[in-house]
Amino acid sequence: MIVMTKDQPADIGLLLEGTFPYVSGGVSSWVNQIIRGFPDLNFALCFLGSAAADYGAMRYELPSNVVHFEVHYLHTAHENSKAISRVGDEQVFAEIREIHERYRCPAQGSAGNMLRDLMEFQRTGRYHEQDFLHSYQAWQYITEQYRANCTDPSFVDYFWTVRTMHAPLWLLMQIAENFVPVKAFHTISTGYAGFLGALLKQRTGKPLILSEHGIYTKERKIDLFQAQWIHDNRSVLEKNSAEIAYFRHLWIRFFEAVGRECYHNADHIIALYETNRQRQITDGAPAAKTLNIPNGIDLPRLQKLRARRASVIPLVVCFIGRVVPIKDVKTFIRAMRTVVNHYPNIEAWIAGPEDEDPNYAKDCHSLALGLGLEPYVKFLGFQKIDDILPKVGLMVLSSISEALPLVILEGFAAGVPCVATDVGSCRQLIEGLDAQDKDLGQAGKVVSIADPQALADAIIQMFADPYYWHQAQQAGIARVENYYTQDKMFQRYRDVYKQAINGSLTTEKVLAELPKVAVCPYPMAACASV
Amino acid sequence: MVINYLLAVLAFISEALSLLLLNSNTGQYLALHTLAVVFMVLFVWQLMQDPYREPPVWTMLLLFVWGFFLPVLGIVGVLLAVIVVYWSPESARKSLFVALDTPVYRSSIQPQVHDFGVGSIREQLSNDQFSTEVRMKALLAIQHMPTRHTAPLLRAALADSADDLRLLAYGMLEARERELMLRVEQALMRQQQQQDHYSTARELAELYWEMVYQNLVQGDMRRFALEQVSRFAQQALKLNAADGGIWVIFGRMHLLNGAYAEAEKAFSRVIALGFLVVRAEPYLAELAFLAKDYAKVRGLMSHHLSEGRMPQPRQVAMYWRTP
Repeated sequence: MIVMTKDQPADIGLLLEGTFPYVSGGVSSWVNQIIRGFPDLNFALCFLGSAAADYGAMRYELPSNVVHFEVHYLHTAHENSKAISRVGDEQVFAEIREIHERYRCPAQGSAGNMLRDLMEFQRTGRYHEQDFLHSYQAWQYITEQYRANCTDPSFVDYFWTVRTMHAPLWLLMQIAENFVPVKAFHTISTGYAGFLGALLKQRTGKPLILSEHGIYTKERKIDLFQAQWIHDNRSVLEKNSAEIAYFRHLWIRFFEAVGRECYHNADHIIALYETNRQRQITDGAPAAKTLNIPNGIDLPRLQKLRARRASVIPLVVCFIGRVVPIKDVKTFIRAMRTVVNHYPNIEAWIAGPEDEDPNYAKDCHSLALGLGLEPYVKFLGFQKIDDILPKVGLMVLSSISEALPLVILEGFAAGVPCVATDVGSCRQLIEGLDAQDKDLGQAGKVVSIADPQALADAIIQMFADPYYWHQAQQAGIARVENYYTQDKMFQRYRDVYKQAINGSLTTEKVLAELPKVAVCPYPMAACASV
Repeated sequence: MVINYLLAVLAFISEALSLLLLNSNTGQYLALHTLAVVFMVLFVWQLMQDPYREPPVWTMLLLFVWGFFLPVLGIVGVLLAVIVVYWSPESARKSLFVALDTPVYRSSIQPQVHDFGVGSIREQLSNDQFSTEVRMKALLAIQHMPTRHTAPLLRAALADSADDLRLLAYGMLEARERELMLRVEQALMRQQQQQDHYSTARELAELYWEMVYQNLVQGDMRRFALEQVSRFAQQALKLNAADGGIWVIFGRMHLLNGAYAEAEKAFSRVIALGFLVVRAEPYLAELAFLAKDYAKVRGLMSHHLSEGRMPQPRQVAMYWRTP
């Protein structure tokens, strides 16, 4: 669905999955920052969501240099067209088999030019979604794969899992077919958006840039390990507790393959920090294409907030972020139980929207109530950071998963040290990365996740010694000014964009040179068990 | 096809001619009859499908014997039978059973089994030398074990260097806690609505105790949970003082809190209510030990040895009995 389109050519096609402009949060505000940071470039946006009902109104106003905006929902029910049996094109299915063989073998990774062939088949009518759903060839292939590989006894579950898994791919091919012409594509995650990027790259030959904040595949994996909707039909005797259910594994492999396809097609793979870059390489990203560009903040604006600080350290601990499970606000509240015993005058602020997961927010309220923390813990709802940062003595980030959180940087710039959990790049931000960075000192403390006691101890220590606190404040300011400014980030992205836009022609040449049929370095059995 | 039926016609004609000669010339009759039978056999052979032709010599011989020793009837009967079957609709002849290829056993789809011996899960989880994948499997393997035993392992994994492990361990702990919290919430709601006071208070005491027992809460949270146990256990006992189960929880809670006199009282009460003495005695022995009354421990333990059947307490009892 096209929401808006202006009669202007676009430079960059931004592929967004479940983020800007319909969801607020770190990644979304980063996207907003990037679009506004390049007023000389025109952007075409493609938003991919799960289902229309999952998103409300837009959370961000579209900047004026957005010239095209379209929205697609991947999991909306398809039209129930009548099932008509058909034979299916043998050659097409041979190619599909080849693609799957390659995906099954992580060292191989990418389907390469075959994706382009597949889209060509679709365009010329040789391979329609109906062929996947109702053809003899498809049935043959699915039953054969079930016999050869599936360790779960249920064929019915296998059949429908395969169907559900492939359903969004047709929509993605359709989007790739109709997207407006741009000079380069930029996807903000792997997953579906990344796969769309790979399809677009294959169709148009335009360069693809990937900026990954979290690691999509890893996050999906953790979800899938615990998902309740995946069945395991093995009997007691077949089950091995150390072996995860086949369908779980199938889904994990699906997202791994989709991620690798994106990595292989991307011309620039950008991580926020070194650990994630290494992770991308482990997951199949070609090391030569990877680079780190950390987030940056608007220093001049936030610097001014320092002048508004009182001379004494305010006895206020503040969590800034959405109230959602991944931020583990509960641990922060639990820690406050202990902190309050030491500092009866302390206040804990929770500043962030509570509408994304109302049940979790409710749990947090009742936890605070249950622990008798009503007078101390204040839920402020969404707040402008400029208003609250000057009144805060310490920032707390209790997340169980983060990438490179902007709030920590914003806090540092405004002169607020931070206690954070040891996730993502938090340690790098608080303690420093290389020797030179470490010399700036510690801008707070790092504790392990979901450990209220440790978090409480860290908070208490930060307030116990004003000298230490001031040192941490100075370290934070110095670190953010040296390494994490918006100007530095824009400069590096400008280089990437320039290279991509100018290099459009050369990549087409490279694409043509890709080997069409490559040989798997592993024997079949080894790959099948992976 | 025409030749086939020609054979059938020839068989009829020869047989009919042979009948004319039956009374005059026996030798010529036999020759013509044999010829008719041969025509018949050839005709039938053409129409028969492959599986029925095996073994060829014996099948032919059978057909021949049939025709030869049943003059007229044999030839006419067999010919008619074969023609009728040949022209009948296929559906009437279709077999219910179809021969399939023998299934192939594929050993490759059996996942490579990674077994964890006793104690090796703890070892593998905490050892950075193992790949993250192996350690993830170790973590997944304990998913079905009682939380009481796994909670400390999971909590240790929260501080692991691998991101995946931390997140998975967190998810597993969180899932179990959420399950209990949900039931607590429902029970609290029922209590607010003043429904069934006694059983709700009882359930709440049990649920909060479960959190402590399963090692899901720590530090101030644990203290809070124990307070809740005490509060709801007292409520339940006020409504039904003869509830042995709650008295046990009450006693164990006091034991954890260090209120030994209260605990002792609770356990004596439990025994008076008919709770198995063998099961209450280990707690009483622990209380006596904490009160440094070792003679009493010895007494309780010797009693335990004669009746106790669980191996672990038995070993402890053995220790106390040795002079």
